[in-house]
Amino acid sequence: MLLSDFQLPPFIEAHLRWYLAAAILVVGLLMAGIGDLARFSFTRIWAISGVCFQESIRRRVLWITPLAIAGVIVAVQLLNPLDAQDAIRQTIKYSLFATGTLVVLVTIIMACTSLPKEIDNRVIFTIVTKPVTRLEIVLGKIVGFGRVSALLLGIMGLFTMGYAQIRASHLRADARGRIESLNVNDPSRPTLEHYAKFGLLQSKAYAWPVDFQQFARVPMPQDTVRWMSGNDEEGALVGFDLPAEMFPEADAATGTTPDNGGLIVQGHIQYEFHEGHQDWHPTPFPGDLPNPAVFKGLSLKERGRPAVSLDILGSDKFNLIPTAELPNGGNVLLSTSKEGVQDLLQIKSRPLDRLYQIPQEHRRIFVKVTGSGPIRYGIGRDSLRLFSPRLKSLGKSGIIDPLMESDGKIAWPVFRGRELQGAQQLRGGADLQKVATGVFAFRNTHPPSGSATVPIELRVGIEGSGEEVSALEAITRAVVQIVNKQTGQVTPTIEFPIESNRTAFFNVPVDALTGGDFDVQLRCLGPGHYLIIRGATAQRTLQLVTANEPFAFNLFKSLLVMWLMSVLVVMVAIFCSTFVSWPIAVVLTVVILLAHWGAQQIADSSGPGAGAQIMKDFFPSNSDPARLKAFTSAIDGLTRLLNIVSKVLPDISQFSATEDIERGVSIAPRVLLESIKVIAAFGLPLTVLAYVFLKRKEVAP
Amino acid sequence: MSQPALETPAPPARPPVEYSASSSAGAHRSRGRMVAVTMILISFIATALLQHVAQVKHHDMVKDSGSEANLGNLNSFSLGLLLGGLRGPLVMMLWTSSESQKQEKDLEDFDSKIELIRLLQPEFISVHLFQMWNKAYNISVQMANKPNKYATILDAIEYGYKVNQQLHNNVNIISEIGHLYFNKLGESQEKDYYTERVRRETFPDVKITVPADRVAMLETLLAKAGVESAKRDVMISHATRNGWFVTSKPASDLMRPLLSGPGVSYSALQPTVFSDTGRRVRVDPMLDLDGNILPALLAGQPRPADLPADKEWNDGSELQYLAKFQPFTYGIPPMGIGWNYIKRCQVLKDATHQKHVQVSDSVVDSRPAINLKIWGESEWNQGRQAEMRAFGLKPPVAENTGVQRAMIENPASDIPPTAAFTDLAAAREALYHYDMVVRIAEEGIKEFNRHDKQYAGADSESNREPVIAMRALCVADADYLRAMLLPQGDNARRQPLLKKASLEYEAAALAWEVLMLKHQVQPRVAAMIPGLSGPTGEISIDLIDSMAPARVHQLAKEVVQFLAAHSDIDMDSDRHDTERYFLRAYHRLMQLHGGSPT
Repeated sequence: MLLSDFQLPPFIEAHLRWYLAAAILVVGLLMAGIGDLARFSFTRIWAISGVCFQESIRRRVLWITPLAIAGVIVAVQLLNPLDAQDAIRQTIKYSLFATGTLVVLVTIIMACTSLPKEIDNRVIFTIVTKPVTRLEIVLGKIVGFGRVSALLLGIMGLFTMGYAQIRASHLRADARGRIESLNVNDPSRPTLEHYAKFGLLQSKAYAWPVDFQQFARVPMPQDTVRWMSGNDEEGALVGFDLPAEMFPEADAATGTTPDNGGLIVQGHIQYEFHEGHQDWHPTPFPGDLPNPAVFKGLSLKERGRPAVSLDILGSDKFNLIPTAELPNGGNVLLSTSKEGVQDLLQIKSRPLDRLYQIPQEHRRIFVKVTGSGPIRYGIGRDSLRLFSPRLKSLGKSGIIDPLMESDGKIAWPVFRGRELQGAQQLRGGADLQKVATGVFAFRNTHPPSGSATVPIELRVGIEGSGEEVSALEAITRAVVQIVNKQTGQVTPTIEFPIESNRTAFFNVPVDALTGGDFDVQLRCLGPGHYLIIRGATAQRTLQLVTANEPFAFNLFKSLLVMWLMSVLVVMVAIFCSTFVSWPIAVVLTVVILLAHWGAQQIADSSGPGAGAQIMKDFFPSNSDPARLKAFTSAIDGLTRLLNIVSKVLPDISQFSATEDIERGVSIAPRVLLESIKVIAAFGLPLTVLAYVFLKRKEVAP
Repeated sequence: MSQPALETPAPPARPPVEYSASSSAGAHRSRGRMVAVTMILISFIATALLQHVAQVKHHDMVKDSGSEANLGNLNSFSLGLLLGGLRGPLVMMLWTSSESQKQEKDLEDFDSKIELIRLLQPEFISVHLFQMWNKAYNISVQMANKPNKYATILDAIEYGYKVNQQLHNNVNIISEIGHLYFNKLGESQEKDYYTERVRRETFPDVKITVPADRVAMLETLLAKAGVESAKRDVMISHATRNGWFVTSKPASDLMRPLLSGPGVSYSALQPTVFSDTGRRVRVDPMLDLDGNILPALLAGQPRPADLPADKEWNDGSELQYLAKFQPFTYGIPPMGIGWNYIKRCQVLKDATHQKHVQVSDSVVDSRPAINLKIWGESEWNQGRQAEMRAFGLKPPVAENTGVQRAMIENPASDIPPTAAFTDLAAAREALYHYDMVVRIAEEGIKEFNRHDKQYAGADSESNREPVIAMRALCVADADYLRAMLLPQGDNARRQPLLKKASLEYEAAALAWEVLMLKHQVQPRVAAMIPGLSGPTGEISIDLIDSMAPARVHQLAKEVVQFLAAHSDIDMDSDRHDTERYFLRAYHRLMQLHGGSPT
């Protein structure tokens, strides 16, 4: 039962590694090694490290580097990259992978074997009989092997730099050559021009949009409503904070909740038929108006009426009330009257009881409106409101207005595209006037000074609906305009070809970005094509290049992160070698380095309830329930424990030295900081433990 | 006795240093090392020789057993040793990673992983078949634009070529290459785009030299030849800078009548087939500028003298089986290239007794015939479209081939032989396609006969008869067009051709009518038509085969009239097509003889 009840306070659990590290440092250094600390000398550490370094060179560790270099060159010949940028990306990836593997292998073997061998062949006598402390021996070895790994990284880094430069310059020259033979409409031209202009070895810093919305028609500043497409292609979200007095206190004795009177969604939603669809009638046929001459027997008696569907979402913008609990499934026919507010939907009291589980101050709901048919629907700031009969009965107006902006105005609804597995669809088409517009909002984004244009990168998925004509080449194109929020300036359209899940490049004049607040409007020219906008405000969908630092500097940062990892490896290896023989130390070092990942994998895969699953597999259904319960809770407790253990093990995934540089992205200082944190939280305590173990170990008579 | 108490005893004499002995030991060790190194070198050489001998022996043993691919096991085994037994886990990791990338639609370095899998598993046929299919179907569909889809399919074919270099003449790989050309490039939804590109790319590019004094007029000439504006700019800038520019063969054909004379020359130029990163960007040129297959692609081993005359032979050349169809004036279509590989697979299956891992011998054997039928129908379709353009009619765009075929069969069928062409080049193209249909159909009939002979119990009649009828109609269409292409006053040559066409149309009408009566009339309909069914109520095939043409025509007319009156039971779309074909023949006969089709 003890195991099943095992739980640490959240604050302790969150910072466990730091507490543990501090405890080891204090106990190890201040209590066990205060004397050695007082005699601490950097000169002696450097001298010991020099011996380690010389010994490693004498053992010909550098001979492995030509092998690794040859391996990389051979492997790169086997690649089948998509284009020049992918070729460089993979070249860097393989070079850095070989570098990392080489350095880690060499440091593990050298550091694990050093102390045990010195003890075995009694070389250690010549050191310990000198006036050096065990702390200096441990630190000297760490510094020494750190110097060896730095040398290896330096050699491999120079190779990576040179090899990548040579390949990039060849591929850039090829790109320049190809541009000359391509016509201006060739879909590969903008990408090749980008490669030719900016080169292939880049280390860019990006800015990303803070918001993404999409509309049926480009929103203008003077608009009182914004438009969304029907056919369930787009939706508008209007948020409401529900006042506390709307919800009477629940009966403490019985737990029952009194009637809250429900809510009525009221609104005035505008609509307009698409061009050519004034006579639209609902039919079982998808797409455009069916031809009655073709589909004989089809009667089109009643003209289609604009209708919307309402969903009630929680504060997380996911469904709060199932549509089955809404009258008519939330479907509402809009009034044909162009004026006045209409009662759109009545939400009964019981479905709203779910809000009792949420603290009073967070009782926020969103009403999501989607339209049907080939009709545009217009929704403004005040198009929707809620009416609470209970508030009315309390002598108030009963009206609940949508959320407000900081300036006191009612906020615009949030317009989103049809959502598919975390992505939004943006409908394209042959006519730019009829396609949906995605708006990426950039705020406080400042482009680099000194250039007339700023590069922007777009990467979206593209899905087809089979409307294409077989014989036509039909290149899907993106059409972009920049709207400056400060100056009101709108750039001319920028059109360029795009391909599914490949980065497309375009440049915008720097003047269009003045002030740093601007919208990038995106439309798609491609009959039957939909753009798939995945995580619009996340990285890699639309990103503006704000800086471009030299590749050499980025490579240096990458190698620095690798060097920090090699230092951690050395610390772990030295620690292990203080109490086990070198072969075991090698294995133990690898296990410790991978333990965090392994523990996390097991904990993630088992998760809560794993005990019940295992119990089902191992015990018959008629087993003693008390025993089963004990077993289940013990397994769950073990899983929890594993999670806690994984928190105090070194997380080597923090040393992400290659991902950014491969993608041509500048490595952020955060990566370096995270690496240093792992060394501080795990490497330093292990070093102290290594010192304590070595101090207590009899290495000489 | 005096004795010095603290006298230091003389140190014992050191044994003399045996430099010579040590030196001799060193020399001994050195000799030992030399021997060891020599032994290792000898072992290496012996191993290499033995391996070579073993490979030759193994090759001889499995040459005709269909398991020649197992030669690759040696490489795989060596690879396994080289990677310290990690080949399997490495492949598994690469496979999992590439599949998850596919699911996430992140294709960066996807192809590199597939390439590594190919290199790590050189002899796993199923792996190669899957990866070729995977690239051509699963990956290409993730592309939005047709040029990129096309490049992905070419990449799958290139994968096949690479494997074929390792596992030479493996029926599985050759069959899959053929399948990708034939089915993926020739029959998919985007087939029109792919076919046009493959036809164009089977030619080399054309380098056109232009004298400096004529560069100024190039803009006008190119516009007149129909070259689009964006391409014109590049051509003119090249011509200005170099004195020549490069274009495709079809474009050069359009320019030739407009741009000729002193200083202007047209010559073949080998295009760049691979991109700067080594990816295939187009198919290899296979033809010269006259449409004949390049000699290198037909150079094979001589036929063994002792091989029986009726025995088929694979000479190892790349396009051996296409030679009989040349010249390809408008390029080789993907179906043609695909058929060549499918035929090669069939012959290799018999010659080397290999087994296909996925389909039976009978299927492998029947494919060339069936694919010829489909290829012939495709050429027929293109001929009809070209014919419409020749008479100033715009071929319709339809959502699928079946609908398009129905819409293009008859718009130009009632054009009289005296009519003038709106587009002479299109008329010549139509004639080329009809002639090609005839050649393909004749080969197809032979193939069906061959298959029926090879496999007892195989009956290809239902496939062979449409091919015979297709040939009959297209041979008539070809002669009709050939006559129309002659000068109006050249009656000496026109009349015999038109007379021949008349007879051929009669034969074509009869062939399609017979086909309809035998295979496309439901028994309950046949029961309503006196004389069509036998005493048991079933349609008697033998009865129809032995009927006089007039009787066949009479019965066909009754069936058509009956079904026109009972459209609710007229569900067979193939019959509708057939009706269009013999109606076309009657339309043409009406033009040749006057009157109306009855």
